[in-house]
Amino acid sequence: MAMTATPQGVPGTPAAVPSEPSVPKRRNTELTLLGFALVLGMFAYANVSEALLGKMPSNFAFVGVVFAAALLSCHLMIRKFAPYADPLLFPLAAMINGLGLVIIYRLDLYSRANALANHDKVPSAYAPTQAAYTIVGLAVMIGIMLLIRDHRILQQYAYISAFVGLILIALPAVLPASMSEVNGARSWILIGGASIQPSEFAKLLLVSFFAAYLHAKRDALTLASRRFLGIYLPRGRDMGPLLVCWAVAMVILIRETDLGVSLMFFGAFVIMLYIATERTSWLIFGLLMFVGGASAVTLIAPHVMVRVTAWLHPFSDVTNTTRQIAQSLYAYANGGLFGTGLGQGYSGLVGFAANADFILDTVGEELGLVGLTALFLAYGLFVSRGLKTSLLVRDPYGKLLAAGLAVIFALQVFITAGGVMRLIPLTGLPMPFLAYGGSALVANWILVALLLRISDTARRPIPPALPFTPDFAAPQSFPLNPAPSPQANQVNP
Amino acid sequence: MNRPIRRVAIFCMAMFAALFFNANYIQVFKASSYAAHPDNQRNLIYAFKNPRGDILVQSGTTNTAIATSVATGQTLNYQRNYANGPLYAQATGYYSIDYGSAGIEAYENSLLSGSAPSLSVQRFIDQLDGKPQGAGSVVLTLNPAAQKAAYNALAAAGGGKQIEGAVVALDPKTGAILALVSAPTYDPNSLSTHDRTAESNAATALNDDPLQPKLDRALSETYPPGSTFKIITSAAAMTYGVNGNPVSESTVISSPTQTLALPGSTSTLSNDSGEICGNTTLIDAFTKSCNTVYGQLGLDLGGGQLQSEAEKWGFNQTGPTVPMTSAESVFPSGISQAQAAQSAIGQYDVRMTPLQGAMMAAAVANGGVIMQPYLVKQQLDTNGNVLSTTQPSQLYNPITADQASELKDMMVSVVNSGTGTSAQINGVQVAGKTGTAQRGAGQNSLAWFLAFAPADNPQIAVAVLVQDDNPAAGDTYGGTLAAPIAKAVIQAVLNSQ
Repeated sequence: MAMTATPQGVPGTPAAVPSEPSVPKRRNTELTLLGFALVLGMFAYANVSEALLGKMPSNFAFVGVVFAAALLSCHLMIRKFAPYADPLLFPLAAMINGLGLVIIYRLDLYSRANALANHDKVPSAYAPTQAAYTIVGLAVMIGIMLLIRDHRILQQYAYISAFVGLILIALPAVLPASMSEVNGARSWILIGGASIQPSEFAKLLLVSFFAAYLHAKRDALTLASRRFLGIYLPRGRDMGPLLVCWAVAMVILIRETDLGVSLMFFGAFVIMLYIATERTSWLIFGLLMFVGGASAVTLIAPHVMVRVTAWLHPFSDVTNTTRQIAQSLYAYANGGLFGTGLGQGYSGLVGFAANADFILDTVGEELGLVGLTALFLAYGLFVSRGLKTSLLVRDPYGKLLAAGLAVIFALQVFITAGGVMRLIPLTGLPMPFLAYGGSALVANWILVALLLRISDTARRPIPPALPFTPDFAAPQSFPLNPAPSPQANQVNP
Repeated sequence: MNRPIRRVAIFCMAMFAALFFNANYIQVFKASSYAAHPDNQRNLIYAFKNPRGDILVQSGTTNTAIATSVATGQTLNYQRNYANGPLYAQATGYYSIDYGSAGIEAYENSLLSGSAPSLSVQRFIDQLDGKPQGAGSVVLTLNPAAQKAAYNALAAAGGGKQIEGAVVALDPKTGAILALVSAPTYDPNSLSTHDRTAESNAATALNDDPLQPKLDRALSETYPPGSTFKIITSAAAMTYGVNGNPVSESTVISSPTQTLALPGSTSTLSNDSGEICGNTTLIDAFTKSCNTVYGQLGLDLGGGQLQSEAEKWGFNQTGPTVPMTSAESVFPSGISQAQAAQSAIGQYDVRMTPLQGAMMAAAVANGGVIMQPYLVKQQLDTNGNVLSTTQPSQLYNPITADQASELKDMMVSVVNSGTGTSAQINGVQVAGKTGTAQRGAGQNSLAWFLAFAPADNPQIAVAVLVQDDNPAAGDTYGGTLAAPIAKAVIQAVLNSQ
């Protein structure tokens, strides 16, 4: 962190209250982009309804007004309480969330038509629930932003975060399958009629813990190492945290049949370790340990082997174990370059979890390569704003937290999209903001709140130190001529 | 820490780049291979997504749909419905989920599905309007009255039991197919249903049926023509002469009257039921269907001349496409004298389709010219406007108008006073030729009747084939079994005009 300190308040000059250095807040940019996100979502909503029902949605105006009001009030709260926050994060998340709602609605109509055709019971619609959770998510985002006025406060709760995070992540593994298993992956907690994906909350808590822990231990981890063959080998005892994390990842993999969650957490930890220590050796160790461990688990755990086999030979068992990945690939192939158009595809054929883990299929089929690329750009832009925030923020904990959140988000997008597109073996993660699932949605809005808060801190200019004037009565404990604070007066680009 | 963060940013960019390239790979590069996978239900969904065009028949100026698409309200949107399935099965064919398609459904698929190049302008306009892809329709040449008459008469000929047979009726002047029936028939609805279990059961039942109802006996099966081949033997005699003398209908052909010894063989040819017949005029021998006379002609002409005459009529040529491909009718080559004698009366290895029989009658009716047979009268676009109308064209010209006229006299004589009297119609001069073809040992004869009417201005040429494997005693003659069916079809056509 290069610091510059410009002298202020040269004695003798007339006393003037220093004005805040002018940093553009970009709130109007945010508002414009929010308007765009809203219009895009409403157009898509009308498009699906026209295509499948031949008429405008009856609640079109109502939905439009509710979401416009929700987005506007969030915007106003951000304008007031986080005026320097990054202007792209919120509109990008809102846009992807809106597109997800439309696709869930579109798949509701598919299930409904299917049930009517087969004279089955019409399944309940998911879109209204998801819409309600969107509103809840937005409210929680504002609540968190108001509650956490300075992200550094989270450092104090590092070990509580770790404890709760580990419990959340481990709970599905220790609960009986009837309370944790959905579609073969034990990554849920099912209580009563409710189902939550604890890993979505755990990812926030554990990233916060990693950031605090690495912030505290980075010197030891960085400096105490021996150079061997051009790389720095960590000391044996410093390997401890990495080993613990690796062990947890392996347990998740074995117990929860969930390669995705395991890879996401371990990957985020190793990358944060690398950021904290700037030591490439951690990356290499981490990678070798995960590949080695995952390969071993694949050999001994049949359910992981099934996933890997389906990845290598997606058409070898199309009626059973490779059905989902094969159906997924048909959807992308049918979409081609420009897609079939919203409502015109058959991505619902993938069956269960079409609106959750496989929701990207519908984007690929109905919006085509063009739409999919646009969605990836939106996700990529979101990640890049997170990393940008990490670059800008001054405190190391904030840097690690912002980078960790951005990285774990990027990993989740990559693992989920790569899985359904057969880039990597299929896993059971939901696409952030896009997929059906209230707990995941709320957790991701909390992630947005944290990034907004950190970016507000990062871009907020530090008020200049008050000028020294003779008539300024300094308290006794205050040094008479303080050295300029290292953080003073830095104006962010 | 900013340096590793920048590197991590590059790593994240690489992950998104990998997703982007992978999307290109599966959505563009591999798309057609994934799309073609048999497990991909989209192929079926798209095949049944839009309504197919109708298949129509005309009675007078009214079009009646015999095949339409009906909305199902299910994943496979439209199901084919055949209004009078068994009656038109050989023409319409079927359009099945698991068993492909047949008949006009298969041969006119590009028009019926809407993918034909002739519909491309329409398709473009529909796309701009946001309308679903429209499809063209097909108007068949079939005469509903003739089709029904042929179907009912063929069914009735069995006297309550299921028999095999076929009827093909042509307009001799154009080649338009007026009736196309094969018995036993099947219901194309049973194969086109979207109830996959019922569909599968129907297909199994049809496959296991010993009578093979899906077999198109009218177009794709060949049978020994028997005495109906005497039309071609007579034409060969007129063309080439016998023993250096020209032959006309009144030329006396010298031959044995009871038994013709076949050279180089112990076999003999005799007349039916041992009748005395022979050493008589060509027209008299034709009228009574004398085997001794025609066997003698076979000996006199030889296999080579019979073969080249038969080939002028369409034998040993690729069967006409109507648009369904018909089987090739065969006259054997390189045969001995004894085999030539047998071939001259339509036995030995001579085989023809019922369509070929109808074409032979049409040649005589149409002054010696065989028109290309066709089943599709018109192609219509989505709005019912005519895209194209089939123009009649000449296929073969085996005989001169004079020879046709003499053969017509001979065929008239068959109906008026010979073996085909049961085809007589009050007020209409019918011309015809019976055939009773022997088959292998232990099999009953095939009954044939080729006819056209009215003799002086022919409106219809028809071939009837009946294969009754379990007949009432002595009831397998072309004259008794097949001729009444031809009569019914002729009456239906003449009455419908």
